Amino acid sequence: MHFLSMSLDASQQAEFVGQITRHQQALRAYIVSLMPGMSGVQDVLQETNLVLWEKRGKFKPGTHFQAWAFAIARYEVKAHRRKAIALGVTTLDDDLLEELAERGEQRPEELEQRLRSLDKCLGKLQDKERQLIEHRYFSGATLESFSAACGRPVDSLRVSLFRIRAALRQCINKELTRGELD
Amino acid sequence: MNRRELEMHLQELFEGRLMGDDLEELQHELRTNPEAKDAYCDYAHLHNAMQLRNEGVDSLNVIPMDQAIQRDRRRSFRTAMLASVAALIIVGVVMALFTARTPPPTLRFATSPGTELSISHQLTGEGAPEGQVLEPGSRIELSRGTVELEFASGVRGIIQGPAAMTLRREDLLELDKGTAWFEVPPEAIGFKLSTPEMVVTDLGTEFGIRSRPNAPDEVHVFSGKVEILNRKGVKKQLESTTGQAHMTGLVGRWQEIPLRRDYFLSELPKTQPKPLVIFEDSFEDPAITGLTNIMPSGWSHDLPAGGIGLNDNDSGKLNTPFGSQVMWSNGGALKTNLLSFSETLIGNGTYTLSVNVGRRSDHGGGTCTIELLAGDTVLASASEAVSSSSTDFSQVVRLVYTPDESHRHLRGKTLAIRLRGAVQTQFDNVRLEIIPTRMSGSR
Repeated sequence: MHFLSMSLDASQQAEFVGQITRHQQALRAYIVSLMPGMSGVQDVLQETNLVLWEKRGKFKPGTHFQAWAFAIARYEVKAHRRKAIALGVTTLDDDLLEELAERGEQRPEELEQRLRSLDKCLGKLQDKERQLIEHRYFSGATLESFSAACGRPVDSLRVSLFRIRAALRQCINKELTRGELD
Repeated sequence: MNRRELEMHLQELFEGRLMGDDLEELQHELRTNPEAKDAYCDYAHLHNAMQLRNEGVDSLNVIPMDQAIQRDRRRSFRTAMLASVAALIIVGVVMALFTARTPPPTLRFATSPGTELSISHQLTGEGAPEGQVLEPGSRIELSRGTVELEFASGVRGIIQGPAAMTLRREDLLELDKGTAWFEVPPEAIGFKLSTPEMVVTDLGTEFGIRSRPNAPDEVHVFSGKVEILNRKGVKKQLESTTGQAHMTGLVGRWQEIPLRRDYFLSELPKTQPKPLVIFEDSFEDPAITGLTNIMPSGWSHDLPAGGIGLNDNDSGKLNTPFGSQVMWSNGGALKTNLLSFSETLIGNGTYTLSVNVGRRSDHGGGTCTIELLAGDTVLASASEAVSSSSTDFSQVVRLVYTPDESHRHLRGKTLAIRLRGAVQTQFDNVRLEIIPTRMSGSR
């Protein structure tokens, strides 16, 4: 099968969409590692998907889809970072971020395994710890509002969050190692 | 930099709070220390995994890209517009330009007569949505009635209560429970609906969803096709097309079921459906004086003696707005007698059982439970702590039950009501109503 033109037949189109779909999470993870602490990850992902689709005629089946998609994502992130820096956002240098993102690249199946490990590790947290970390990531509300709701000082919550994240990181790594050994 | 400092800095970096010398220090560490690089990757993965866990459905993008492009472009345009507005603010241009470009609300809704609902918004203060409008983060709890949703994208939905839902994004609605019908125009293909058990991605269609506690979630496709993903077990994903219906099955698989249009409404009812009262009792028979162990007519109890019975205003310790007598329980359950209550379970309708509960001004309350049974099977139950302020019986405990396929074998069985209290829980004004469902679809 050759994607020689922009007009793909139905099965080619389905295969291409399948590739994009299969790599969505890995692509997102890659973008996150290139944009630490910056907003707009979802927008960059959408832009990347759009460009992938527009350039679908240039992708050669049998070549490494992930490498191709990541290269496009890298370009999109760079454009986004430039805009953010112009607005006063500070972050790590481009070359360092790209080196780190490359080091942390994950295949879709690795990411699946990581998500399963995260679920297990979240299950090991105490209720209060889980509420705090879920508040941070799920509610979108500020730590200040959580502080008001639970009656704990913000600084104390920050320290707890640090401890919980460090514990989750350690637990996930243990789970992944165990998975490799099974 | 020691291990703890490194981890602190990395976490601050992913929170977007690391600046100045600390950022430079971390940058140096990351360039020179392989362990720091690994720690960076770990935190990037953790950060991403936590976000994915929240936005999990986002990562399941299975929509044909050409059909999604129009939507993406619209979103990109809006993002660009907001960015340009932000730039204008930086150079000091007046905010009037921003308000003049405020986009239309993400979702407007309307309700049918007799609808009871509560709304909460994530946005508060000046930015909070006003009127019958929802924005991402808004939540509706629909205790009864019907709501029509009209998304700015053109998606239209009819949700029948009881239901609870949160609008996550213009193209993502989380339905915790409820019966919902949706019509998705071609320009909004990719619209997603998630329930506790599944994620439905529209691929250009009209479909219905049922999500109920203690029953498998269902999706019914009336035209077009949807992509359905089971969120449990093996997370089986498949396409459901015109005329097909599926319910979530064992270990994350799917089971095909008969298509049922009659479960769903595609228009907002213009009138309030009239409930048919099939049972009511405010415990006036037989007439008594003071706190007694006498049982009301038509009810039996499960205690050998004492601990339950009729009461009057108890020498002024109770208000009795529904007649002059109430029923009290110290832990026992009282149940309607078969002979006095001969209604049987029918398949098409929604039952609502409501009971006013109260406590003496000087004592009692506890937690009460109300149950609707068919034979010995509990169809639905509700429990609530009796409020310390409910000496006037203003607190209503309510349950709503709609029979489904899993209870088909119970049709024709005699219905019963069971009430259980604790520490002198007082009951009054027991009402069981049914709103019959129409038998054919409205389209």
